[in-house]
Amino acid sequence: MSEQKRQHPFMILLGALNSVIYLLFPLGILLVQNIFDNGLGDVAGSLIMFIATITAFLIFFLLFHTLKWAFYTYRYEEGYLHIKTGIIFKKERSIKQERVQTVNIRTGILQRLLGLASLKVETAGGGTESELSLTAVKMEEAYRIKNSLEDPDSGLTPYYNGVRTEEGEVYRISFLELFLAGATSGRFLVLFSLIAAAFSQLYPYVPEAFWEYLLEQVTSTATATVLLVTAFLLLLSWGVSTLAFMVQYANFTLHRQQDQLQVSWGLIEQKQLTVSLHRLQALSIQEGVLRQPLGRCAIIAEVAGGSSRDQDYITLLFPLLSTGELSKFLSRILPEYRLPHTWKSLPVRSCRRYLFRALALTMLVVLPLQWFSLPYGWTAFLLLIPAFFLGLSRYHAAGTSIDDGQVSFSFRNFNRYRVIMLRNHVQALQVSSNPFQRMRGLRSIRAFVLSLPAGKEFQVTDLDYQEAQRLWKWYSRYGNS
Amino acid sequence: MEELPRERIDPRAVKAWFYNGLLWGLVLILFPVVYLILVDRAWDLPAFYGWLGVGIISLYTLWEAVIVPRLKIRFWRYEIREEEIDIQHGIFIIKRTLIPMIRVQHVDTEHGPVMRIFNLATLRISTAASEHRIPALSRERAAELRGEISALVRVSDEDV
Repeated sequence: MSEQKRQHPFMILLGALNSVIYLLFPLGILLVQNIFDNGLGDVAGSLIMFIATITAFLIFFLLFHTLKWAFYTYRYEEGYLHIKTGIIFKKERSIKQERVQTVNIRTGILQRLLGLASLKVETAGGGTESELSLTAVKMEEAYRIKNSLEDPDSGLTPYYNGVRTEEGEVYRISFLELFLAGATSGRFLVLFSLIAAAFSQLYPYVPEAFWEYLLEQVTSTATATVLLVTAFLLLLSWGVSTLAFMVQYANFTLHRQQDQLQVSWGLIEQKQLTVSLHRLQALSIQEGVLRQPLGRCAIIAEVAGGSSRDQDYITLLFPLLSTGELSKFLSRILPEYRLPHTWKSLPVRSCRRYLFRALALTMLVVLPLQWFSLPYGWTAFLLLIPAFFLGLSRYHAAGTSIDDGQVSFSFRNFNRYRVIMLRNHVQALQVSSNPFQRMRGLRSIRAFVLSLPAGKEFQVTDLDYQEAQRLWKWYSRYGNS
Repeated sequence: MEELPRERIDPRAVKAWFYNGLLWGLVLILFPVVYLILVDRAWDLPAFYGWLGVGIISLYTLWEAVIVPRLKIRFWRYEIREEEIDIQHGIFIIKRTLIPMIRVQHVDTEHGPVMRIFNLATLRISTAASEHRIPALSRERAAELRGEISALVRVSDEDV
């Protein structure tokens, strides 16, 4: 095990292609400019120049990355990984097993064709850059390094060749659930605005006959066209975003082994992440607006440490789960956390404040609109109706729960969240009150939790004074002793 | 939670905050004053906005330098116990914060120029997820507390 090794030569091609891709954009701009300068007559000439430049750069980068590849060697032995890099300036680095937080393995589509994987080793201390990455090593080699670097005492079943013995608890997403998750992800709204913007640019180029045909099918009014086009675009963006979601999170698997959580997903680009349990700081159960009616929720983890680049991925623990299954899910995967059964909901007198906040905020938007005396401007007042119901449902969603060493907050902005925290993960607790709350004997409570990149606060507004006091006592070491 | 934290911050804080607010006011008022001078000489803009700026900044300074310090000192309280730090502060919104000693990552003291004149310092307590301040302690008290907290943090670290 102690001989110096190089990565797979494919690293050269991968590195060179990556470098060239960065140049494509500026060179592309130059090309367009060139075409305009020389007139449309000499497009071929400009194109040849463009291709020649790219090729020259590609050759240069290939040579450079060949050297880099040749000088990049690694060696691993029990508990250590040594790396030597540098063509002129030599650099040597040794990573000790104890300092390794996680070892993540990824495979892109090109790499998978050759049975290769990239490996990222993250060490304690975080930072934006992972400590070390190997871009192209054989799959089994990647798993061998992973095994030798991850804590042998954690008792993880050794991986080999990407296949592992099924031990511990596994949750895998079903096709139907994956589809539902994509369909209700709400991403289509973002995509819709993008498509609509692009479409408004393309509109003049659509042949007249097409519109006429469309109009003949329905009534021939302009409003109908607008409605039809909007509906079509909505449907299109919904379909595309659902498909994209399904491809991105395909085969989503959550695997609990000893004190490690392993998450893997992806069809085209496969990703695998490992989170040690002690890095898990809080668990959020997110019931999206679209998901709640279907009785589905997503599980999100607040994680401390690791490199902040991966934070978007690491936080999603499971994309879609039936709410009824939550209790079973937690007891199998995360028995450290329990789903609270009894919630302390808010007193009736805080309902007024919830309604007031929702309505006042809407009025702040609606009233200035009236200034412009738009036709049908008064219809904006209709917004007060959904605002009223939003306030009401926020009131009903809010609550707290204490269960031994665990506290849970429930609240809603648009999505409903239930956040479960263990007492020794709450960094600080804050009870606050404004004069109106004090008049009615109400308080707000806020818990600070460590989470990437800085920290997070979870808050429940307008709870009963007695309840705030109970939470305070629960948290205080002074009150308990 | 019924009983308030025992200790109050240094009463000299009111004076220090007053001068601090006044200094800020003087800096801010430069903008409308410069505007007014330029309007007179160079631009063809209404002087009204300049006077409006002067008015707003004067009111703001009065609020920040005279009223806020008095309100702040009324509610500011803290207590450092063996296992936790208990802080209360606010003007309208009163916040009561509890920080367990084991969660404290580090403590430091800092003081600006005005604070230095009054021999005051701010104690800053950081946890992994949040930062809390006890402003305007006498400098000796701040240093003492810093030492005390660091010692307590070390002790409770051993407990874990």
